[in-house]
Amino acid sequence: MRRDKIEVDKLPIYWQFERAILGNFALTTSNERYMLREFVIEHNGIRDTPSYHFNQLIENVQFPKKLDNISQLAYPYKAIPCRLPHAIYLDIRSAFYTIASVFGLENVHREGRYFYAGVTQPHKLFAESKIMRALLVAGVRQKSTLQEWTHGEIRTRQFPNKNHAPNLSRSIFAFLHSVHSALSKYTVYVHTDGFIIPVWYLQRVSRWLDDRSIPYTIKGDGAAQIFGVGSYRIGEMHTKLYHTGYGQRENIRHEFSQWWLHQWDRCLEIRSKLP
Amino acid sequence: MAHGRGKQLFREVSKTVTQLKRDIASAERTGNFYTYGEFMEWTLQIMEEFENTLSDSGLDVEFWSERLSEKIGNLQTELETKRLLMSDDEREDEEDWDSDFEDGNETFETILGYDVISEGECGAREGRVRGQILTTLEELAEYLEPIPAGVVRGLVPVEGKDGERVGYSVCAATKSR
Repeated sequence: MRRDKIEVDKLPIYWQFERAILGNFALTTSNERYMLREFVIEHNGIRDTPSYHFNQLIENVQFPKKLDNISQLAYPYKAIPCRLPHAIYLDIRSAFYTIASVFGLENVHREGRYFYAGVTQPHKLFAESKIMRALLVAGVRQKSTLQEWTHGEIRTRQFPNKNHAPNLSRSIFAFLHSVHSALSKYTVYVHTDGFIIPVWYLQRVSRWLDDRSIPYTIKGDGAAQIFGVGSYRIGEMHTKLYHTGYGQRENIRHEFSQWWLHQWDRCLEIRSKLP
Repeated sequence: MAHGRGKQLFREVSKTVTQLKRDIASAERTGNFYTYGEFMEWTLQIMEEFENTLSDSGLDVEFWSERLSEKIGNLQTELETKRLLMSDDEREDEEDWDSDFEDGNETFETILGYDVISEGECGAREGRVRGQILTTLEELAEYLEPIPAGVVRGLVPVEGKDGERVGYSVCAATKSR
């Protein structure tokens, strides 16, 4: 069924409709599709939500569903509460996109045993949009959920995700863990692809990243105070909560760190040969 | 009842085939190599005897012999893979059973017993190119190991910028829906 697409600044209230599906970026009723303007992406002349473009762009990718590993991995984090007179906030540039480009979307791995690089590289649109990049991990989970407003009540429904790609999301997080593991003696704060180091380690860390062709950007610079995970300030930059002390926490995985870095080098070499 | 008898016969013959594989592997460890042709000959003999027994017992010959050929196919692949992973020096002494072979004027290339084919040919063989690049023989062998021999339609070369081969992708049968 074709629905009228309407771009709005704020999604309408769902109980105005008899039936509606609530998404993060849109609200779909039987006749209309209301999309939040700030998230709408235009690609190939079509203006729609990031999820729509994500589904279109990876429609023909055959993701291996089997995961020969013990478990999925969570994003890496670490916080050592401290004060530093001068620190630097670095992050891996477009991390999910960069890693997926090197490893390939259909990569298959079993840690310590094998890693087969995927042929397909993510579309350029992933490089341009932060939300699209986030979908490389968030959009490939085993289950999809939607919230449905029907018969006067709201229900959450789960259904199998046709884009389930356990190897892809795992390889992205495993590589991030291996980078943070290798740099752990320098970092005081880590969250997914970003990390804070004392300024006196900058040269060593940037050389290490350059040697492995890992692109990075400096996002913050100045006096820093780390309170906990998701709670810090550095120079002018600070998190929403930057005064709550959560204490020291870390989940950096050190196993197979060297193995992942080796796979990175190997895949970079393969990519350099491909057209 | 007849199906139960077939199952029993199949189990017995499977044991024989597995034992044959073990004997070959054990002989190869001591440096006594058998050729691919010899192995084929033995398995064909086993197949023939099995089919005769099935036929004599009035069982479904087609059904059970198909299952046996699948098992034999897997064992052949396993043996071939093991051999190809041996060093070049070791292989030189052996019969040339895995290299290119000629048929008339055309030369067909094979790796690990699988044809090297183009992407178009993969489609023609009712296959689909899988999305992984396998760059070494070890990777290929490890990747192919768990796949039943009948599923693999061939290997599709992945070419680099200068037209050189970077690796191979596996052409596997498309799932029937």
